This record gives sequence, C-alpha cells and structure tokens, in this order.
Amino acid sequence: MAYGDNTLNADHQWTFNNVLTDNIGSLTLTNTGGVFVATPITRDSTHSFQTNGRDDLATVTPTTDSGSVELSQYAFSGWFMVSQIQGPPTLIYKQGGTNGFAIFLWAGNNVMLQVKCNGVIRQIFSDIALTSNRPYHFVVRFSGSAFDNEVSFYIDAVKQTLNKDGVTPNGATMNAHTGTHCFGENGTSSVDVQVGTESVLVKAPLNGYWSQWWTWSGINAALSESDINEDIFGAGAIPQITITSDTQAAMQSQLDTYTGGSSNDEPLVFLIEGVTGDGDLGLSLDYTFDPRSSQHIRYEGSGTLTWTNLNGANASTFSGNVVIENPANLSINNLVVGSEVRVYDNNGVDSNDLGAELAGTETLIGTSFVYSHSGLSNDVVVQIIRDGYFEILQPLTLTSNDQSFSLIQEQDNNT
Amino acid sequence: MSITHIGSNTQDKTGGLDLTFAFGGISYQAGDMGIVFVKQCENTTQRIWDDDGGGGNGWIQRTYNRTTGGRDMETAIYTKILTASETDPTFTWASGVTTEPMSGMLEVYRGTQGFDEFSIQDLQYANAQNDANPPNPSVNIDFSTSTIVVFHGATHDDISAVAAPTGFQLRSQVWSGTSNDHRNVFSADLINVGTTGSYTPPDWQHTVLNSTPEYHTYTIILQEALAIGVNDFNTTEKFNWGDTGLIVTGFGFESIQNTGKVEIWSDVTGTIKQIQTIDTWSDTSISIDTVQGSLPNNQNVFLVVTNDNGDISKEFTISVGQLPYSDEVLLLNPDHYWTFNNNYLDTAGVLTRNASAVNGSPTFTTNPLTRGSTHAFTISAQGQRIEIADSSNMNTGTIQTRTMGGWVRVSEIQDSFICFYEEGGGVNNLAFFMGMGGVLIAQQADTGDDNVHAYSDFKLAPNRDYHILFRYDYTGTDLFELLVDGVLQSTTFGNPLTSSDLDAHSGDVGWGDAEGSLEVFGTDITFPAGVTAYYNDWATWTVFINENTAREKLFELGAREQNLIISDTEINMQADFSIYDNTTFGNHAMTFKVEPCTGGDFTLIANGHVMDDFTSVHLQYMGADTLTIVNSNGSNYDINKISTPNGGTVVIENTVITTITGIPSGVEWHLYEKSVVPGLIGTVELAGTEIKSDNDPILYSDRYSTDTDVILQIIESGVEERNIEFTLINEPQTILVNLVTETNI
Repeated sequence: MAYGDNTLNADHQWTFNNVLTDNIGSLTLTNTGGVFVATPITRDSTHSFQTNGRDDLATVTPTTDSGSVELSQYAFSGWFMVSQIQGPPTLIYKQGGTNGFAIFLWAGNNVMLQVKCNGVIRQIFSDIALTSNRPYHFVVRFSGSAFDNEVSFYIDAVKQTLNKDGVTPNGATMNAHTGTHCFGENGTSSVDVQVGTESVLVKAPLNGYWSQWWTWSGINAALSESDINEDIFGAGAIPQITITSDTQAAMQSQLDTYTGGSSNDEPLVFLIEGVTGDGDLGLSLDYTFDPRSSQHIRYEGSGTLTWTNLNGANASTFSGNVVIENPANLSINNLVVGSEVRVYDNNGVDSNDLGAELAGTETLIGTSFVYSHSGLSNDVVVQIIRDGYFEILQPLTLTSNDQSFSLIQEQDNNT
Repeated sequence: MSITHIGSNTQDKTGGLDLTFAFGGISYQAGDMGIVFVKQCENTTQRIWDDDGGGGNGWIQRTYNRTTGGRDMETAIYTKILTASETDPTFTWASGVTTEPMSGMLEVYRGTQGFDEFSIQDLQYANAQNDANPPNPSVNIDFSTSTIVVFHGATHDDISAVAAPTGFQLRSQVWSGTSNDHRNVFSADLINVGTTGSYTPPDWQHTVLNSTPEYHTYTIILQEALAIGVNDFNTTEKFNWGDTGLIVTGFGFESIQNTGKVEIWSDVTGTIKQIQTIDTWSDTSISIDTVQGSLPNNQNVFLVVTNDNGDISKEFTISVGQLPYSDEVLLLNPDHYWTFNNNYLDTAGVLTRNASAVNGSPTFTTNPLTRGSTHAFTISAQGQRIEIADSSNMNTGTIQTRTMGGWVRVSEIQDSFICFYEEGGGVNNLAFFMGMGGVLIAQQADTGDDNVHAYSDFKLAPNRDYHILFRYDYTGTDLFELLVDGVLQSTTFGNPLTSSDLDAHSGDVGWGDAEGSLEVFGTDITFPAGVTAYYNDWATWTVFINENTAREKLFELGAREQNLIISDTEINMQADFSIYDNTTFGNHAMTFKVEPCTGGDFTLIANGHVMDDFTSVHLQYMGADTLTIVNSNGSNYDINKISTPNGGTVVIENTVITTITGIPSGVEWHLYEKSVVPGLIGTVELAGTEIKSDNDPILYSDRYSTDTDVILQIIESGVEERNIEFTLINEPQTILVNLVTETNI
C-alpha cells in the first residue's frame, strides 16, 4: 500500500503530487504563483508543491467538514519542507480569519500553531527550529470540551509542549471559520494576519514545499498517537537508508555496512522491510543516530523486529513492531581467584534448582566475572563456590545499565 | 618645565593618497612630542587612515573618525615621543585608487611628560554639519599647567579669514582663501591653560561666507612633565582589603623611601586617607600590603604616592571589592549608557530621553534586573515607547563597528511579535525582536547591502533576567552576532557581512513599540512593545565587545543572585548553605552568590542542590581565595557555570556513593580507613553505628581524591567479628555482604 492510500478516513486529501485536486473530496486548490517540482518530500510521491516567491499560495474555500460550520472534533496534517531560514514572518498554512488555525514559520525557522476560537487565542510553539531541506510532518488536533478538551500540535509525531495560556479550546466546538485554506501566502499580499492581537504582514516561505495534507472531522478526527506515529507520519517518511527484504542473515549483512556510522538529521533513518517469510527478525548495529532525527527505525514486516544496540548505539524511536535491546554488563568483582561462578535465571523451584544457567565458569581466572546480557530487566541468582569459603547465593535484578558489584567471600574456618 | 611649541610642518595635496611630514625645519630633540593631524575630503568611499606607525616609524594613531553627512571627511590624530633623529613619517589613506584632496599638519611640543601614556591627558572629538567656525569639544583638565591644542578640519572653502579660538595662538593652517576646497585645516594652542576640571575651548573665530562646511574638531590636553606619577597598580587596578604584596609602578618615587609614603584616599580630595604598609620601595616600583582603616569597600578609591622630596602623585583611580555595576559598565567606555534606574539619564553621553517623544505612559517600577538597581524602566502596554535624540555613534553615523545591548525581562510569553529596541526605520535599522514563544532576534537591516538576523539558541523564559547584546564588525569578523548572558548564539541568517559599513539610519532610536513598520528582509512589519517588559543598564559602543568582556563584565557583574551566602565562619556559612538542601532551583541568571569566608579557603557541601539546565551562573564566588563545592546527593554545580569576579578559585568535587548491602538490623558495624599498622584495624572511622536500625543498604558518600583501602568491621552478638577489606574508588560500587551464621566458633 502506497503512502496516501490509507488516510484513516480523511475528508480531504491534497497529495500535491503534481496535482491540486482533492483526492477524496471536491476541494480542488487554486494556485497563485506556486509550481510543482520533482522534489518529493513524502514516500511514493514524485513531486511537491513549491512556493518560489513570497506571494505564492494554493487556496480553497472550506466546506462543512473543513471549517465552514462548527466542529467539535477536527484535525489536519501534512508535510512541509523549507530550503533556508526565513527572514520575514511567513505562513505555512492557514484556515479561517477571526477564528481559525494558522501555522507560522519565523525566528530562525521556529514554528508556531495559533488557534483562535471561542474568544481565546491558543499558541503552541515548536520545541525545535526546522532544519533547512529536511521534511517535517505536522498534525493539528482540535478536540472540544465534550471530548479531550484540548488543542494539540505534533511535529514528526512528537507532541509539542510549550504554549501560551494553555491548550484548552474554551468550548465544545471550533467556531465556523469560512476564510480560505491557504498553503503559503495569506491570499492577498497586502492583508495582515493577526498574530496574537497584532496584525502582521506574513508572506509565503521562500522555497517552501508541501506534500500530502489531509483533514478529518468528527470521530475520524480523534487520531491516536499511535495513528500519528504509525500511519500518518511513519508511513510517509522518506528513509535515509532502506534494508530490503531478504533472509535475516542477508539483512544483517546489509546493515553491517553501516557499522560505526552515524545518521543525518532525517525524519526516518532506517526503513526495514519484512524478513523473508514474514516472521520475527533480529538485527543488531553499532550506530549513532543524530539527536534531531525523528524516527530511527521503521519495521514493515508483520512479525517483531528485535533491534540490538551494540557498543552504546542509541536507537530509541520507531514505528512498526519493534523491540529495542540495549545490552549491558553485570560485573562481579573482588572475587577469590579460582572461584566457581554461576549466574542462574532464578526461575527454579528451590535451592537445588536455581533455574536456567545463563553464564558461568568452573574456575575463575582473575578476580572479576562479567556477564553480558540483553539489557532487559531480569531476576537472577549469582552462585559463588570456592574451597575454604562459604558458598554464596546472591539474588540480583539485571537492568538496562551496566552494573558492578563486589561480593565479599568469607572464609570458612571449619572446613 | 612648562610646555613650549617648537615648530610645525603642513602638507597639502589637491590629489593624493598619503601625506609625508618633514622634520627638516623643526629644531626638535629627543623627548619632544609630535602631533600629526591628517584630513581627507570629498571622496564618497571609505578608505581609512592607516594605523601603521606613520610608515613604520613608531607613531601611535590616537583616533580616527569619518563622517558622511553632507560631504565625506576622514580625519585622524597621531602622536609620538620623538627620538633624537626622526625619519619623516608617511600617513597613508589609500593606495591604488583615485587620488583625493588631503592636507594636514605636524606640531612639535617640548616639556610634556616623556612617555606616551602621560603625554596626553585627554583627547576629544566633535563633528557636525553646516558650521564654518565651529566649537571645540570639551575636556577634563587635571593640571592647570597643561597646554590645550585644538585642530579644525573643514570640508568647504567658505572661510574668508582665519582666526584661532579666543585666547589661543594659531600655529598652522592649510588655507588659501576661498580657493582651497576640501583641504582647509587649522591648529592652535593655549599654553598653560590655568584651570582644572571641565573645560570647553572657545569656538574657532574664522570669518565665514556661509555655514556650508562640515567640520571635525579635536581638543587635546598636553600634560606637563611631572615629578612623580603612578601608572599601574596590581595590573588590574583592582584589589580587596587585606591583599598583600601588591605592586605600584610609576616614576619619581626615588630610590629610598625615607619620608615617602603610599596612601589610599576615599576620594580625589582625600577626605579619608589611610597610609599603606610598605614591603619594598624603589624609584619605579613599590610593594604594599593594603590597610583599610576607615576607608570604604566596594567602590573606587585613589592611590597617592609621596616621595622623600615631598612630591605628590596625581590620584590614581583603583577599585576595591566589587564596584557598582554601573561603574563597571562605565569602565568599558560606552558612547552612551542608560541605567534606567529610576531615571533616563545618559551617564556616558548627553542622550537623555526625549520627553516630547514618549508614547503611552511607560514608567519606572521597583522590579530591578541588575545588581544595585532599585528600579527598572517598565513598559506595560504594547503601544508604549520612549526615544532619545539622534546619535552619530548610533543611527546618524556610518559605523563600521558597533556593540549594543542591555538587560531585559518579560512577565509572560508574548502572543505577538514584539520589539525591545530599534533604531532607524523602514529601510535601514538595528533592532531586537522576540516572538514564536520567546525566540530573541537581533536584526541588522541595511537594504542593498546586508540584511542579517541572529537568533537565540533557546526561548527566553518569562520572569527571568537576560543580558542581550548585538555586535557587528566590518573591520574584523564581518559578522553580525547576538550574545545572550554573554554567550555567543550559534544561528544567524545573512552573514557574512559584505559591505564596508552600516549606513546611517536616521530614523528614531527607541525602546518599546517600533512606532510604525520596520523593514524585515524586505517586508514591512509592525512590532508592538513586549508586555510587561522591564529594562536596565543599556549601553552602546562603537567598538567590538568580545565574549569574555560580555560574559564577565556586562553579564556576571550585573546579574542579581537568587540566593546570598554572606561572609562568616565556614561552619556558619555551611549552615546557611544547608538551608537550601534538597532544593530544585528555577531558571535564574545567577542562583547563588557566596561571599568570602572569614577563615580563608573553605568548603561548602551542597546536598541535593539541583540547578536548572538554563541557569547561566550556578554560583558566583566573591573571594580571592579558594572555595571548594562538594556536589552531594544529586547536586549538579557545573564548573563551567561558576563566576569568580575577584580572582578566586572554585573547585568542584563530586561525592561517590558506595552501597553496602546484606547487613541486617541490630548489627554493629564500622567503616575504617585501613591502618598501615599491622594488626590494627584502622584509626579513622569513616562511618558506623552501634546498632543498625533497619535492613536497608548502607549508603556511604565520600569525596573522592584517591583510592582508599578500608575495612568494614561487623560485630554480631554470638558471632565471630568480621573484618572485610575493600577499596573506595572513584565510581559508585555496591558491596554485597553475605553474613553466614557460623555456629562452630
């Protein structure tokens, strides 16, 4: 299924893939100055819509499911990219006028969502400044007081937190806002937009790019964070690297070529296709993900991908069925040379059956024993046996961090 | 010996790129003082008089100035203490370009102090348009025996008869009636001025045809040779009472002290005088131990040396303790400085608020932002604004290097894009904006040349004092930059600068509402004031303020501490510090200020002091010795966020937690530092208890300095005593003790 085929029952879909038509409804956009360019910013697209002038825009008048009447639940989303920091204040998207939504871009490519409704102004600010020439995905969700009673703003599926005067919409519905939907400039170059209480002449982002903008109303607008992460954002992100479907060994071989590497600042770094036979898959990699990259891994198989971070690798964000393991070491120190050391899973029935042995040695060389494990939390028992010393049975809980213990062996003077 | 004029040489070119002055007709000798004034006019492209020693001959460029209002003019002053044999110096304005009219003069004086830092006591510059017999700038005279030298450069040939300022003697001129356009320059002097304090020479008395010419005028005070003088104290001119071994350097102290003495005065008149303790004495250097007596602390005081002959040095300004912040700013020589501490005065210049250009009713409130301030200028509505008059150092000059900023605070996130400060207008301007949740923007708009933004790396938080500063330098970095709390911000748009200067931008200069639109990268945007916005201590320079000065002087010395630990014994200061145990502090400019301990070097243990990531200074130590801060129980004092304005040292030590498990309640245990004596457990008990009260692990916290062998002694009734050895190391560790009940002892 191509990105855009599953819109989670959106009312309107502008793919901007070389067309201005509404792929679901009938709200075809009118273009003023914008162009289509072969610079796709979403998967499965070939083109995006570009404003290459400050007065460019695409616009359409809303209908009942997109703002012309009151709505208790409403949402919209889409992809945007910009090629440089914008000097003057600019507008990424706007609906309505006195009441409505607007997404501004300014101040070093910081982003601000402004919602005017029910006599209040709500502003939510991006936690980050947008990197130039890097696609970003926005989701705006309005949920009236009968539902979640919240206006929320997501960038790359991460909810933005800094706001002005809270995020409650101050009412059950979003006011009707019949002003046009604008991608780019505000519709007329001489007309200001209210930023807070002040009129500001905002322009189109110079070399802004749009792709796959969708709107929802009613119950369909109650998008979950999983919907946003998996189907709306993750499914549309163009990956930096794709590991193609093959056997597990062959896919690990593909991945090994990136050992010791580091990612770019990307919406998605690794797209992992399903393993041959479509079962579970285990992969491991020593790799550093850019802290500004949004989704580190997306697995598109039906089974579970177990991803192991090697040597302190920092994969942590994902979509699809993914389990991330961070191996850690259990170190037992200050032991008597020659001791027998055993680590059991502590799943046995009594002291004669301590459970499955996870690691051990008959005769310790040196004074330390190290057990490397997956990093998953687990209760274990450490057994130490040495002639002339009391036997030790020490229960411990493994964690995702390296742990170091000194076990004091006491001499048995009556042996 | 009084000062005398020895001779002159003038140079005049209808078209030239440099001027060479001749010593041939001047009977100079070693120790005489040469002063050169050069002028170029007519051209519209800045070239800048070289600062190359007059062609490598040791001349010092004292000042260079350019104006572009009306007709362009560039002038400079050079000086040198002459040797017995001088090479004719060449002063270069440009090379490889079209020649331009230029002229100048060399004047030689005898009897000034024989080294450069004393020869000129003051030098001031003035300029304006449309004045052919202009005023001369004011100076401040220390000695009535000083000589005043004035120079005048005019852009047009509208002077029909030449006359020096009243009482002055005309020394040189390049003038040829009304046929010497662009090249008119004049010099005059007044030997033995006969007064001290603020002094304004009379206006030039030329007869003029009209008021067309622009002018540059200079007033210079030549210092008569003195018998004794001080030129340095403790390198920095700063000290604390009780400091010892501080060096006074100068001349004329005489080789033997005898009746000589060093005093520190409370003011220039010596209302309170305190003799200092002498360690060593020579003709040029004295070592002293400071004695406070009845003298004050935390202000400027004055050092005076008297030699055995009874000669008394001029009062040398030094500072003790921490000066008022406003004094510290003034030491950086701003062109204009507004403390906004319940007044609008320009304490470095004359640009007090223009009372007729006030929008709304901004006022002062008792919400200061800076150390020592009691009030802040406060804007409480978006339309409010104040202005000052135009300044050639700000908006009406063509300026190559500039730094400006001050302290701001807002009470809440602003819902509009707001303006803190702007100068200029709809085309060219400099401004501070804020928007998008608190992003600070410094803007330089020079349409057709350079449009640049510099952004804060973070969003400014409400109710937090910030020091903000923009700077640009067309002669060095070619960058327009923003510093917040003295830290250079990383993101700009529009750099590097490509032009040669920022054009004059003669729109208004104001704080608050931008009063109409400002051009922002070609788009006219209206900006209201921030609400509620507070301001203190704004200043402007036509020089480049570096990051260390911005951080240590403008920010750290002005920041108000959130908490103060006052000077006391170490025990009492620790008690005061411990009041804040287990506290998560908010985002502040500076969280703690710690005064010196009465006992010298000392240690404070921070127990659970958690600093905010965005706090700029965790702790400022006011002592000159060493304070050790021990981070314990999650405290996170960061050595990179420590301030030591008085030269002290702060050491950060981190405690290491050793966890001992397996010792049940009721057991007696002791942790000893292992004895080096065989058979002896240990002499220093680190921790322990007679009866352990619970089954919890023992957490032993230790300031790590080196690996330490220890012995854990466990005493259990009816059970043989156990002595377990292990080593305390520089990382957390867990000691698992398995107590086995032995019944066959």
